[in-house]
Amino acid sequence: MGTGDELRDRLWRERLVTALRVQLPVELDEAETLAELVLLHGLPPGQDEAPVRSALWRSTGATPEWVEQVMRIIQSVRDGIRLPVPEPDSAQRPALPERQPDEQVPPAINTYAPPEKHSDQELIMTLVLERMRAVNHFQQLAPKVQGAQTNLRTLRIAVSGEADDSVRLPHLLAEWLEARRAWEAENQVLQSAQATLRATEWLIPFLQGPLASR
Amino acid sequence: MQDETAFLRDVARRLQAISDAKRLQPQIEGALNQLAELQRLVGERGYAAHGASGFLREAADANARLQQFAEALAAAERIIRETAYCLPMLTYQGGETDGDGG
Repeated sequence: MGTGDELRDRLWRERLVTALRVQLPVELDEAETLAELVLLHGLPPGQDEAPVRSALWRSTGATPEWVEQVMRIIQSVRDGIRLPVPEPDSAQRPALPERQPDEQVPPAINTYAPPEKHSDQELIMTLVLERMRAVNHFQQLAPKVQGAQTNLRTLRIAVSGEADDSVRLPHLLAEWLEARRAWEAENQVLQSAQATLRATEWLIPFLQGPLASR
Repeated sequence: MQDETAFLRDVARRLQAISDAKRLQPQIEGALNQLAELQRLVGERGYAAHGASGFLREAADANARLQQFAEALAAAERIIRETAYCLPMLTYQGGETDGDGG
């Protein structure tokens, strides 16, 4: 298998895991398990989907509707379609529906829109761009967050050293709360950047290339 | 902040060059093996022997292919070296933040 194939397979897997996490939604390990199941039954882009549908049906014991939802996500990833992301308050995953004994596997129904094609190159570049922006965010924010943490710790020590009836205590607490809010806002962006860095780490070997060790 | 467009263009060039280099290396090996085999056959028969001219022509073709592959590989390696500046940015791992809000 060539580098292009490896990269394409890896990209397909990563996109599938991400889509399952966001669209179903499920936790990372569950999305990875589902993605492995899909790949195990041979669904690289463009191949027959019947074995995957059947494997999902057998392995998860879910309802036909749930299997269809997963298949739509798989198809959307394969065809490069972006399905709508659920609203935050509906993002709680419902309990996995149980299959009724008399339910049959429905035939494949193509109810989704015609695919909007994206080339692999575009997708890789999108991920590289995301990684690059995450690096920039991280580099800008890490020192700020570290400074804010030091500030918070200093304030906490000051607060704990004050007597309960101290005049300074309310002022110190207000200062700590304000510093905490500022820290939280920046730390959230930092953690998100860090998550992006981790999620796109798999690109590195492909980007290093055969001359990396020379 | 780096110039994103220029940076991404170089990353794309780099990925293509890496892919080319990996594809070319076995092709070069194949051409070298073919050349060695043809040289052996010519050597066995002698340059003047009947059929040797056909092997020599094949060897010339294999040599020309080898040249092309080698030039393409050199070009790919040049791009990989030229775009090596992208690597620190792409391989940057961030660092541990303790997530402690004090």
